[in-house]
Amino acid sequence: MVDSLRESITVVAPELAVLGGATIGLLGGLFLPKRMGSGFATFAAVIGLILGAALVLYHFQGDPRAEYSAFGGAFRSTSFIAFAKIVAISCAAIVLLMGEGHRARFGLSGFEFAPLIGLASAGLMVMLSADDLIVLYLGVEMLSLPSYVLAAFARDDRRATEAGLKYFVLGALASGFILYGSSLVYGFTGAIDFAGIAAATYSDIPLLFGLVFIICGLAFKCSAAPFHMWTPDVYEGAPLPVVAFFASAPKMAAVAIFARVLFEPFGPAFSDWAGVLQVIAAISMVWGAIGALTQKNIKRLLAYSSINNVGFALMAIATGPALGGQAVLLYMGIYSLTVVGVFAGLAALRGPDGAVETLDGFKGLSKSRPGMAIAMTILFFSIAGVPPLLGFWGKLYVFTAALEAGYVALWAIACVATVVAAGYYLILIARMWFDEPVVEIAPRGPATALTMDLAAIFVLVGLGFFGIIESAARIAAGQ
Amino acid sequence: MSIGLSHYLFVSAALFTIGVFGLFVNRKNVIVILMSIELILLAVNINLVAFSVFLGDVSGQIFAMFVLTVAAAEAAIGLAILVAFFRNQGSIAVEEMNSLKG
Repeated sequence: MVDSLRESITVVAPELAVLGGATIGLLGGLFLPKRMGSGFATFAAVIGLILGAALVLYHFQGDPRAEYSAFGGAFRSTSFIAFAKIVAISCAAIVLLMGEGHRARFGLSGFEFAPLIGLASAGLMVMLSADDLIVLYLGVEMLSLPSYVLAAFARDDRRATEAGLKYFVLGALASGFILYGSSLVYGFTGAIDFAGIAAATYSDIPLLFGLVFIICGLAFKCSAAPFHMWTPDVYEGAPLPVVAFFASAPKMAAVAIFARVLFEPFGPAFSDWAGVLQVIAAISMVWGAIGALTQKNIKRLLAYSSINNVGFALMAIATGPALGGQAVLLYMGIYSLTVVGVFAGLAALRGPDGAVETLDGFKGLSKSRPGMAIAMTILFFSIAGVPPLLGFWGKLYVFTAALEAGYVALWAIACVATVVAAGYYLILIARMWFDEPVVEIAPRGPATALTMDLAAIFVLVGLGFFGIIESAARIAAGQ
Repeated sequence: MSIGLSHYLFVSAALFTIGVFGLFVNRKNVIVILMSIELILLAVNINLVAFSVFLGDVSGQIFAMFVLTVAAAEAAIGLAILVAFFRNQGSIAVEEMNSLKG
């Protein structure tokens, strides 16, 4: 583990690229004339994100099983981490590109929007690569602090600032839980690095106490029930492009780091946390399915849908690294990319008084915007898990992992939750196709509609790529 | 009676609990919530420093320095969001945070 500073900097090059893009964008936005500044900031942040993804790929091009360690074992890069990073920063870049040009509609006209997403992306990359408790905490905060600001970015909107405040309070509490857990783990193992914690003994009750605190905190961050209460409020209040970001990139990262923390430092305690994870997964799947049924607001509905989907991912984590490692990457990767498409579709829909936010706004969409209705239908079918769309294969891997691990009861709950969740996607689709329009829909925004169409094509023809995605996830999970 | 590790842990656990309860039980003022968050972070710091001294290992103290730094950034962002909220709402009472509900 002897590494020079130069080697360490090579390992963190992707993070530096993303951070650099965001910083240059911020400076450009400050000092360039106002009209140019906003476009430049987005451009710089997107270039940083693309460069970051390219550098991650470059690290693993020769040997996908390579492992890099930097800064005395504080920072680590494996293909598991690389997969999550690439999906997450691709989502961030897509969110930036689709929002450009008509952010002002959502109260996001400030140029800081793109740099903040860039900074949050750099934070989630650091969080994903954490190899000790300090970097884990710093990564979580580097992701969370820009996210709080993003949620409240439309600062003249009462609902957005309220969402930001709620997100801040509950997010800070979650960070506090992670920290308190970390301090107990440090105290009872004497180690702060993941390898040292894994080497410690696991009979200690206080140590498990610390583990439970960390699990609670991370469950908060990836909005798993019963720690989900911030999600619907934040999704409803925050501006749409921001919600598109929250639902994709940080979620992918939070679930992946959840998996890493449990698999690596707490791997020897598998029998202790598997049960906790099963309970959290079951509650999330059921609550996410039932809670959505009564929602009138499409953003709240998608919040419950994300809780439901995180439940499936946690079910894969509960099966342990050998069975669930690939399934969790595959599931969250497909979900994140699909959900960006759904939000792009929502952003492209414009009613007479701003964005379409109620379910009634979807009535008769097939008559006013047939192409859009087809694309949205494909995306919702994919999230619901209808074969042969991509979402189905993600679910298949998760369900197989659960059966192989022998979690029959959890598997049955997951099946019921899938059916209930499919119900509300079908209600949405029925509104699009069988009702008369009640809201007049304005012409679609070009960039957002293009994103949504591309996402729909992705899940439709994704089967062709599925082999590539599947083997990428398999190699990433080290199988 | 000498003061041992368990005394520190007890104080820190008590502070942490007070902080968490302050978040949930308090129904009046958002400032009190910010103070509760601060209390939670400081409880963690007591834990970290106490463990660090009793283990004879310096990394806990380094961790505590990072926590202090992040706590400052967190308080700044929290207050900024609170000011933006106050401008829209005209009040920082917790019971008036109710425009988002479902």
